[in-house]
Amino acid sequence: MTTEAELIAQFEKDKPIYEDWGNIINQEILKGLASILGDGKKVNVLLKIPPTPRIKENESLIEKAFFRPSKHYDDPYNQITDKVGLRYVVLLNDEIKTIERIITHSDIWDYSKDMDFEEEKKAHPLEFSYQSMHYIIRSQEEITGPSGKIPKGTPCEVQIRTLLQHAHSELTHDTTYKPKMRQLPDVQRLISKSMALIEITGDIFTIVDNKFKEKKAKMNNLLTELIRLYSPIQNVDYQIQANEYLLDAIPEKYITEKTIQDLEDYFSKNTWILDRVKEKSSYSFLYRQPIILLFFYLIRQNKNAFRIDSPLPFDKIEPIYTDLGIAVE
Amino acid sequence: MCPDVSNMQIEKIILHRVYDNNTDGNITPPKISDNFTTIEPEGLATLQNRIVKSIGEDSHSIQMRVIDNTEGSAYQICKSIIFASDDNEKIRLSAQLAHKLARAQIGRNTPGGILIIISGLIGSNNDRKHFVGIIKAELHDGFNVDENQSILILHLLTSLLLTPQQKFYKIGIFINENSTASSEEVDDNDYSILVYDHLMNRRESNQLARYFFDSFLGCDYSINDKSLTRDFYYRTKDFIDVQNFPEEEKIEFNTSLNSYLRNQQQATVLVADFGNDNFSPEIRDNYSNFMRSVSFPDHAISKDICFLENILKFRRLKFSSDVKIIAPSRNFDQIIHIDGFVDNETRIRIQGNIINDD
Repeated sequence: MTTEAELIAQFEKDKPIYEDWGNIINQEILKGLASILGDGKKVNVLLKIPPTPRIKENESLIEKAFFRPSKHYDDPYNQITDKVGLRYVVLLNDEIKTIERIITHSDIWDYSKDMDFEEEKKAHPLEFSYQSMHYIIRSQEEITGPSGKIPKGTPCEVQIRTLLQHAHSELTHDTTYKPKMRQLPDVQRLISKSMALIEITGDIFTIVDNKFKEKKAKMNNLLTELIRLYSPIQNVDYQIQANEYLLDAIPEKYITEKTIQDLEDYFSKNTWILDRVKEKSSYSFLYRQPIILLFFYLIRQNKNAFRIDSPLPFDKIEPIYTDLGIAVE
Repeated sequence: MCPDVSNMQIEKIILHRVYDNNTDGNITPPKISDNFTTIEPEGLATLQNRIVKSIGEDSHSIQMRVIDNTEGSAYQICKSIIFASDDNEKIRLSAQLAHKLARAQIGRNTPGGILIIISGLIGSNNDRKHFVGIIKAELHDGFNVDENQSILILHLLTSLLLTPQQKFYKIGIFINENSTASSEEVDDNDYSILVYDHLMNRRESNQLARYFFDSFLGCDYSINDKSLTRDFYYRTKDFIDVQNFPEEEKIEFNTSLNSYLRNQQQATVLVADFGNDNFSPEIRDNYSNFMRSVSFPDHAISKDICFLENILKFRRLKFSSDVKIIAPSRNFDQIIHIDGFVDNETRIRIQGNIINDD
């Protein structure tokens, strides 16, 4: 039977090793994310809280080893696996999976899942409680770190959760571990309610994100088509951001699934427009942008409505009306 | 045939000065330019804009027919300008138009101005057509601001022309629609003529416009105006009918259509005018696209309701139960109050008492 003093003495000795192990894992995960996202800057956007290894507090270790009513350890020091921990906080449920993919595909560690909120949902469909992904990562071989040798099998707990789940956990951290508080029915009910709401909100965030992605894909396809239609006009330097900005500012009702096809039809029937655009591109910024073609098309179909909805003031788009032969007051 | 004025390409521009009438009735000879004028691309685009504003789709220009095709008529001169291969010949012909305008103004209290004659190509794709445009632009004054001093300084400009103020210019444009035919084969029926003069829109002023389109351009209103006015009425009714409007709105739109055509002051009918006055921008677009799809002209038509007189006098409401209400149009809104529709019932209040039951 280990004493409190023995436990802490051992832990103090091992702390630098644990810290090294946490750092190695963190570097591996960040490296993996940068390669998946294609850009280190995007990693900082993805992770809502900068990850750093956290060594367990001595008091907390003692409490967990000897005083936690729900846990009984034969060999507490080795059985407690969160002596060092890492936490990754993201915005969306899908982003959790990206980090999991890195954890489950490593050559330097083995992993086991300690907590899986997706599995918990299946096991307790009527319950709304603490949600997080917990992995225990153990080194496959002995590794030499800056502070010495990290033995094979050294554990580290990695938590992955969304910002919303994190907020819930911050609120309930104490209550999760103090049975008496947890048993107060009104508190329990409130906490469950908030997790239910968080789960719904998380789902809605995902829907919103998908809509953004959908719109972005639609816009990207449209812009690619406009650039293609504009391509017979050579030697013209367009500003891609200006096109993106204008495209984004056009109300969505004007852009449908059919728009790309309609544009192709319209410009194959009205080849004169390209000649006209080319001619005016020498002195007009707008006529140098591929999006001018979309303006021609939309004005031809919606001369009145687009005048109001145009992202540009009327005097900027008036020459298009004139080229189309439309008189405007 | 509804002329297409998109893709206007102005190639030649020449200006002549025509003076105000002398009080003694003699003509002050116009000042004739002996060459074309040049203009920077932005200026050309502005000129194109002014012309399209006056004769383009949705403008108040009116399509006319040639009534004078004799030697020396505006039609013959414009045709010769289109077919002349020699620049000097074009310049000489344009001067004839200046003299012709000066003569047309005799005896009228008409200000002089600058006569601008342009020629070029118009219309889309392979179907490009030669045109000659004749603009009489009156000079007016305005200011120019000098911002280069420590204080802003206004300079009076006394010979401004072709500002966006449309009442200061009149335009006639002759478009040769038969682009492949030779000069001998082409006749006045091959020409589309659009005339813009702000005076033509109002009943009380449209006679004042006559010297320009008639004495000068040798044109007159189309003989189709009666049937076009009738078509306007029925096509617009068709459009209102197939829309997803609530019934009470349809009745309101029909009332507006009726009053629009019966309006005594208004001398012209224009799809864009009716749309602007009655519909939201989206519906206006649908209406305009619908009228274009049935080839109804997108410029103004000289209003002639003689085919519609009886139709417009009375409104005829027919109900699903075979009940019919016939009411005079002139005060329809005051004597018939439609309060609403509930299930299969219409609540109507009618002013007056029943005086007869046949």
